[in-house]
Amino acid sequence: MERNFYKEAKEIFIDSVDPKNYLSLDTGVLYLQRVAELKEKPFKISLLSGPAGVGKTMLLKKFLQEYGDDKTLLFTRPFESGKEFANVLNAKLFNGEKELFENLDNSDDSEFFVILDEAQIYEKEFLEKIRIISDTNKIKFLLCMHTGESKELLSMEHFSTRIFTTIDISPPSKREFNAYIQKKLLSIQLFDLSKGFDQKRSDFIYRYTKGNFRKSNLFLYTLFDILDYFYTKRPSELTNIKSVPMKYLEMSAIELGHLDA
Amino acid sequence: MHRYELLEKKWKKYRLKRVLKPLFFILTITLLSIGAFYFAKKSATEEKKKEVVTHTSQNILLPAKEFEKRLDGKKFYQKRKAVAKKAQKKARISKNGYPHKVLISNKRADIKELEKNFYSHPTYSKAILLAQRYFDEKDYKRSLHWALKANEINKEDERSWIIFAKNLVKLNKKDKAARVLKTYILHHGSSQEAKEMLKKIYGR
Repeated sequence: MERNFYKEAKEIFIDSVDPKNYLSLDTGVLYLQRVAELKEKPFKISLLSGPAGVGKTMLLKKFLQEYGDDKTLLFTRPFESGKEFANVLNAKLFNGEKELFENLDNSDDSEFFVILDEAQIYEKEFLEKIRIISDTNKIKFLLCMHTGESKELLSMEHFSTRIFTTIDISPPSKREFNAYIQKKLLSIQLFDLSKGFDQKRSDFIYRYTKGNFRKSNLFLYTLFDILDYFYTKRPSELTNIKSVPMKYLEMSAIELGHLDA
Repeated sequence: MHRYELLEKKWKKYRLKRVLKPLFFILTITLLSIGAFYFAKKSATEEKKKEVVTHTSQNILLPAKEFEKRLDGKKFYQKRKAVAKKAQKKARISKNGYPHKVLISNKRADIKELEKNFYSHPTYSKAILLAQRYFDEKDYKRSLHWALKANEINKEDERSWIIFAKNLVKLNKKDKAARVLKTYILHHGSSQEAKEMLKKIYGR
């Protein structure tokens, strides 16, 4: 049976935060390096912010995969309370023996690196807990949150004085976005399809997704799903794999409500 | 029907809209431009027509005056002339009391229009009117030309002869003017005005 490239392409755009699927774009490498540097520096609290869907969680997971050890922890799911967090932290770092602060007193300075994703949802009380823990100088924190939501945190003076650095993650440029799609397709050896996905086509998607990877993956999944359907039904219409017809891109935009038909 | 088949139909509608939208826009602009052009053209033509009608009516009146003058005598003619002059003056004065600018600024254009009018329907009165207008504008050569034209149409009427002679005087051809007036008096009639003019030429 003939190979259905569209079906294969569709699968790689299923949105996931599996670091195996992480694609190193130029700026992505830079961000990864900066997070790695934070691990080595004696900053009490650092911030990582960026718009939703820009790839923050993926970046953190990739960091953990590349630079992680038993003293580096990443929490992608939020905690209900500061107490719960302290208990989990104690269990992960010290196997839950004794109290957290007692254990911390007996450990070396800046020994642990704890990353909290979705930090924008934490209450003041929870953040206070983090501040108190960070004051022991034994744990460095990296708080990851959406752009603009760090204002409240920074407005707390006693907190802001402990934040030494902020890494702002921006959406990819149009060129990077094109490279992202091409690299994705190349990752499963779809060379012709990758070549056919030129700047014009990626710009069309970028116009609606603004480089948001989550939205873009949904767009590309929908596109290849449509192409897969029509390739099965009317293969003669899609013989030239080197060029994805604009018709299907517009159909995807209509399907996702970006275009009013 | 599969949802993607329905989606394709939606897309076709979308494409049609996209193609028709600029076409509709261009068509609207074109129609509006054509409409505006014709409206402007029509208005301009109507304006010109009005002017022509005004002058033509004067032209038509002139032979009538002549006719009345000959039939009913000088008194009736003078009365009629006074009424016509009053009406003409009134027509040229706007509500605020100032003369109509359009009439003044379009004077040259009126002559041209009148010339056109003459060539499409040549009449003696139009030629005389043109001769008189050019004379008023001190364009004596052109006035001469139109006086000749008028004379070609009607040799009996004194006005063409008199305007012709007046132009010659203005062009410093007094002898020729005198010859013309003498010819008229000799062959076509004893015009008082022609005699008066002849006297003036000889300085008597």
